[in-house]
Amino acid sequence: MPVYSDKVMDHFMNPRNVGEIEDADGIGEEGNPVCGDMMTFYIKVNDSRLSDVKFKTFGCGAAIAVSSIVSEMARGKTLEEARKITPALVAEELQGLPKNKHHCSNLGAQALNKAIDDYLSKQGKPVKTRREEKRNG
Amino acid sequence: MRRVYLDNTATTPLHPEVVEAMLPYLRDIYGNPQSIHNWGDAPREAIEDARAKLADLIGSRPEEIIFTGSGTESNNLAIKGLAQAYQGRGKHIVISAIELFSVIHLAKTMEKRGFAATSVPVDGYGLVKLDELAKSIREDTIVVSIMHANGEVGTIQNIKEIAKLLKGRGIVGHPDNRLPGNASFCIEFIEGEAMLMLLSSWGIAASSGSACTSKALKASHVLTAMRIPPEIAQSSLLFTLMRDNTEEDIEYVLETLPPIVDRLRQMSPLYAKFLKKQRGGR
Repeated sequence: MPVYSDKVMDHFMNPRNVGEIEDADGIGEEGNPVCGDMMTFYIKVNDSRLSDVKFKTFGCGAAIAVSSIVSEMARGKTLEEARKITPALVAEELQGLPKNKHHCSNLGAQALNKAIDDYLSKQGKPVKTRREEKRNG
Repeated sequence: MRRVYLDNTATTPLHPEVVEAMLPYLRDIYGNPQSIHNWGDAPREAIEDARAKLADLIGSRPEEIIFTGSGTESNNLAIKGLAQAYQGRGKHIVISAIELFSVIHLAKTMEKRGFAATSVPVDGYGLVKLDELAKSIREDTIVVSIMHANGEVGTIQNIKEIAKLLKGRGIVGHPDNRLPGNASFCIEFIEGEAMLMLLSSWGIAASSGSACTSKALKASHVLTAMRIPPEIAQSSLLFTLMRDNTEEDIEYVLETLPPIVDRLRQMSPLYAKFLKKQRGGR
């Protein structure tokens, strides 16, 4: 078993915000069971803020802990703020991740971003992914 | 909390009789068996006595028994030794796709040294395909190394039939492994490492062939060779028993595991999809 930080173990043993949101404003799915991990994020948006964030995850201890912490970090944030949750920030918030588990933190941030994209596209608003933002400077 | 160790393929405690027999040599009786002085006498006698007893058990001559430090070392010595001894006769080695890494990696090393190696596929149960094995054997085949029993999925090969294929062809068979209590499962929709971590928090040690539990993040080569779909291989869970495990131990596992499976399934988007599909199908 990899050596996980206390924070990872806490979020793995007691994951926050597990579940689905029936009438979600946006849903984002990232990864697939073939590559190992899969995460689905559900968001509710109120006044451009994430009023609720829930997730379901198929994956290892790190994948579950990442999903849990991302849901906590994102709750209450504006969409713009939530976009700024990077894999590096997620790993930092979890007091570090083993090297071979870093891809889990990518999945978490990406799944949340996809949920925001989904919300925006349902609203008929332009979807500006983080990648495009970077490209545009 | 009860502690139940069910990962005996990884490592297992010494049998108390072995501990008892070894203690004098670990504590008081030291010396190099090769030495001329008499410190070497007692260790030499002990080793030769053990060699003779083992030879008697398997019906060989004592000088045919060679002690090594590990299974990996034994496989290397056997296959490299045979290959080098018979290279005048041929340079082809046959293994199966579910051998230990010590054999698979060794075959690759031998290929770099001018030998040829064929890996014979297995079926969905992990059984070596005998027709494929027959086809793989060539004029220049010198060694066929196929494990008798697989420590990960518990498959026992039809070693008699395999031996028949090799008989009279000057090929040396190298059957590896025998099998203790082995229970291998795939628990759909959840992942192995998460199961192991929760089991461990309840005092139970097991193992898994899931990609996430391996350093290289690759699913078990045994499950892959059996063409188990990757998402099912991810859910592998393996219990390997030892003589000290009790019925109470197993009952404790049977009590502990279902809530863990349930807990992870409640978290799993795959399980949610499965349930939806099932409901839709009705």
